[in-house]
Amino acid sequence: MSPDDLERRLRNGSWPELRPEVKDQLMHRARRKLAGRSRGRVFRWALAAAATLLIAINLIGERAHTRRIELITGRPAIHQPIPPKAYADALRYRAELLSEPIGDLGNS
Amino acid sequence: MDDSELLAALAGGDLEALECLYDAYATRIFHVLLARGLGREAAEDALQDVFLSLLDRGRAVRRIDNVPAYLITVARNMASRHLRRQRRWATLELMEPLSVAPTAAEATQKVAVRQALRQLPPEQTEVVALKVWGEMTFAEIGEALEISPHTAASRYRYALEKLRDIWEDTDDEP
Repeated sequence: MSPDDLERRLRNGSWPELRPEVKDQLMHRARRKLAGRSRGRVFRWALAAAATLLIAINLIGERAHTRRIELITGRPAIHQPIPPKAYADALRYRAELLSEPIGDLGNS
Repeated sequence: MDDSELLAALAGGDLEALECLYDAYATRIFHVLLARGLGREAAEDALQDVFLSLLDRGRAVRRIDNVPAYLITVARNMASRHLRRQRRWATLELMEPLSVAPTAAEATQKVAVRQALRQLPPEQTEVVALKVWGEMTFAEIGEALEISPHTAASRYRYALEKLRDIWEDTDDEP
């Protein structure tokens, strides 16, 4: 049996053709997947925006509290200027504190 | 558009790019899935999953260098997973139900092809499927399977030799 005979014999054995509806099913699933992904993205951004807002409110609240102490005591509540690094650390701690529950939500 | 442009578009959520990639590669991935032992329906489901895996990669999809090779690798993994789930190789439904009632001789021949292909290693069935039904050259097969064209040709030759032995044995049987 020559290679040509073998190939002919193979071709005579039918092989399933890919049905056109598979493409429609795929595109339907892909559209749903993308829609789900954009919903998830909106949710994550909403959480991030809420966290940022909380941090900002918290910082403003802290400043107001310091000012009230200064008014009551009649002298600066903070004797030494706060170095920029301390501000950055304070922001980072707040962000970490807030990101914990967001991380939990993301993992659930 | 070439593959890299399509991947960039897909990374941006353009589903037309996915459609173009499907048009270009679906048939050969389907052949690979069948050659790896999946039945028709399982292969069609897995085929969809293979293409959806591109979406799962998000923006990282742009980093794929060789799209057919990537898709074939995913397809092989999916086929293995599917077969492990089935825990058997029994459903090698390489042939679709015949649309026209065959003569007895034709039916026997089709069954013989099916049975013979079952006896080949998956790597060889894959090359046979891509060459015979996918109508690809050895260079194309080599690129898609990330093997040299020479290796693809060797696998094909070994497969044909084995098929010849199988068929000569069965043809000799009374």
